[in-house]
Amino acid sequence: MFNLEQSIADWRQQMLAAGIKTPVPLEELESHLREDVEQQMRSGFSEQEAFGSAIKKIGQPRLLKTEFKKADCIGTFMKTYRILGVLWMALSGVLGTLFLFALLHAVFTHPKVLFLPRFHLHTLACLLYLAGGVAGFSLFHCAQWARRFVGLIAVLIMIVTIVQFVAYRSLSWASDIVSVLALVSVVLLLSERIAKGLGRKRADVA
Amino acid sequence: MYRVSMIRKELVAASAEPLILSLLSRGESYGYAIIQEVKARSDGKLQWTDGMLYPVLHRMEQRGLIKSRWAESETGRKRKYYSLKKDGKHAMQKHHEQWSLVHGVLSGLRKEQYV
Repeated sequence: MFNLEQSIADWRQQMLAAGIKTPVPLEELESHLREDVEQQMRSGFSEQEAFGSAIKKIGQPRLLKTEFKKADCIGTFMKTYRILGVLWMALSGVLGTLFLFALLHAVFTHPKVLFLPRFHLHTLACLLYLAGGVAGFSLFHCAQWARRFVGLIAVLIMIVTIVQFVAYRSLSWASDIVSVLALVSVVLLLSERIAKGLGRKRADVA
Repeated sequence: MYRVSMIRKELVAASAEPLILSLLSRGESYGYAIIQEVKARSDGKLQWTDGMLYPVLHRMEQRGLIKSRWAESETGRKRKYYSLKKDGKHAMQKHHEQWSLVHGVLSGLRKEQYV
């Protein structure tokens, strides 16, 4: 005698054995399975026929696992972006704001600094830090444009830092922190591109 | 993703994301309903292997195009409902423009054949 609950329990075991995680996505797949079985039974199929057809439509556990793994991989990158977003807001944004106040203070107390090349370089760095803070906010909210923007800001910050170091043989601690963040961001953003490229190559071969 | 009846699997795969985004732009929905709707609208010619829809939905969620929430259906069963996010709306707009372009080129070429 066919037992639907027992059959669903067996099917769950097969899914778990293949590496499909619980509660997500296994609960969602089970909800789908039960809905399909009910729908087919309403159309006149027996419980056993409906279950057989429904698990066939859901597909092979091994293939499902492979597809979910790809989604997990994207999730890992998204988590990394959110952490990066927080770091950009906290470091680049806050330091940029402090830097801005320091520059304004310098202008009001010694107006002649406006004509110094070093002041212009600091102003450029300050604007880049502030832009990095804004991009960090969008990166935290997973906006796709923010990735490219952060990448661009990171490269520009690294260039400005190198110029500062070459020209004046000294760097502020704020420049050190934001430059390290910029370098890490560029490496992470590039690593996702490389991973995507490799994934595409593998898919082409398959 | 896909058990193909008439449409090539590459085309079915490429059309999955724009179709899901367009369906969700009409309001939140869940996996089973999405599959049934696509099947009905294509007269059964566009058929997805049911289970393979979920990795696609999860991927789109991870990319920030859609969001999800668990809720109880009218029958008391727990369902995961998906809805569109702001980035999803932009992505849908992009898909529509690109597919319209392809459709326009194909239609133009077809008309020329019959002139």
